[in-house]
Amino acid sequence: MERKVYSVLQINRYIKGLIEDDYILGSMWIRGEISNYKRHSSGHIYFTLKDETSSIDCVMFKEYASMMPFELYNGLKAVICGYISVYEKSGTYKLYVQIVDPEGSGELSIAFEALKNKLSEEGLFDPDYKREIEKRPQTIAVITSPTGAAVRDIIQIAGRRNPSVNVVVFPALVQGEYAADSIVDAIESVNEWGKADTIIVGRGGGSMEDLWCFNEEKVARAIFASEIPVISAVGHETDFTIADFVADMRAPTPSAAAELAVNSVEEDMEIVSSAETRLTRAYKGYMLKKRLELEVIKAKTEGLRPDKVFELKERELKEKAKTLDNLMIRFIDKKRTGFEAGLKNLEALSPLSVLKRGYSVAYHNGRILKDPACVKSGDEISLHLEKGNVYATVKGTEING
Amino acid sequence: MAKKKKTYEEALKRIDEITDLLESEEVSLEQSIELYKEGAELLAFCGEKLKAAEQQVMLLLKKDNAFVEESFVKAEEE
Repeated sequence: MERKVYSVLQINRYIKGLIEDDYILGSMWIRGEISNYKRHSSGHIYFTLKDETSSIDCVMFKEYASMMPFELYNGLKAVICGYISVYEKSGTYKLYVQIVDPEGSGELSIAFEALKNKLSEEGLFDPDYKREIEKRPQTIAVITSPTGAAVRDIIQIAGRRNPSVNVVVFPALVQGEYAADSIVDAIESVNEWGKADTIIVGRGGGSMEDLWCFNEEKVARAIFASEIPVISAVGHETDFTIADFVADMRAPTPSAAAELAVNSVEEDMEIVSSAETRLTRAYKGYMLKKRLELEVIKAKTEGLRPDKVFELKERELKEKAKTLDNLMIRFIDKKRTGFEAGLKNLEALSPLSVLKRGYSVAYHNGRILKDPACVKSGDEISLHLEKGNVYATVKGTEING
Repeated sequence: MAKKKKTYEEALKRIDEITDLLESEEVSLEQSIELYKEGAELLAFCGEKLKAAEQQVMLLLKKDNAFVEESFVKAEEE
């Protein structure tokens, strides 16, 4: 008996015929989630429709794709109308999509996701395009309603952090039909004005519809085009808008935007104070070392063993370093209450620390004795030490040099 | 404007450099005194920059293609 041999094409074509004639597969609705979404340059759309356990490749031809009122995106749950057919060349079957009916979410969130995907693909959210926010601004521009709570919060917090930063409010509508145009105009105007280092654009909380202008494409493009870095500050912490994605920095709230835009004088003061502490400590340390060297030389000339002296002085040095550290800690604490006050404290503390290091002050007739010429043999003098006084009688004087 | 702001940062950087130099002990006694003096001056400069000022809030408007700056308080009252 002779075998009946088919070509591959014949079999694929036979299967295709079977499927296309099928009562169900010829036209049906199927539910799933869109993934691997890809729009080809030809205008055809390709994606995979999946549910928890299974997936099917889908194609939507240009003529259907162009009729869709919104863009598809990965993760969209939808009910899809189409038919199954076989691609003869590869023997694979696909769902040929005619209608996509999104499920569960409202029109606004579909438009939101669609625009987000579109701009993201265009690179508008790319970190490479993010401009750096000026750390020490002189002027910040605030684009928002001049009567809202947002503007008051921003002014208050900016003023508390650094009153020397000028706040310029450029009024804009932040709700309703004309809001997007108003915001775009404001962003362009502030750029034209040119004196601001940073722009904050935003508004207080509201419904998704209230915040909608911050999800409009023209607002996103104006933020992207701004020469001046933009901080978005829309609604509450949980509200995410397209403006947030495209802005150079997203602030969760208008108040937070002011914190991000304006450097804190208090923090700056702490930085300056600690720089001062470190400098003073380094200088004192340096001087101590020099004195130590001198002591070693002196000891040598006096016939003592220099290494013994060194050991002794090193121990002293360590103790002194500890004292300096303690001083520094106290000093920093003081600094928190104010830069100037702290400076005075340091000066007030320093004679004490000198005494701690083993120096003493000589008094004669109640005055500090600086010149040996002021006393003669037999004069009574007192020595002021850290832990008390020593009373002595002058045996003789000698003037240096 | 930008230059001034930079100077503050530069001053802080220089103070750190001076601190490092003093800690390295690779300077002469005369130099160390000069360096400390320079550091102290820079610190005073930074402190000056941080002096309190009164906050200025303006309302910026565009009228007939020209920018108008108004006091923000006044605008609120209107």
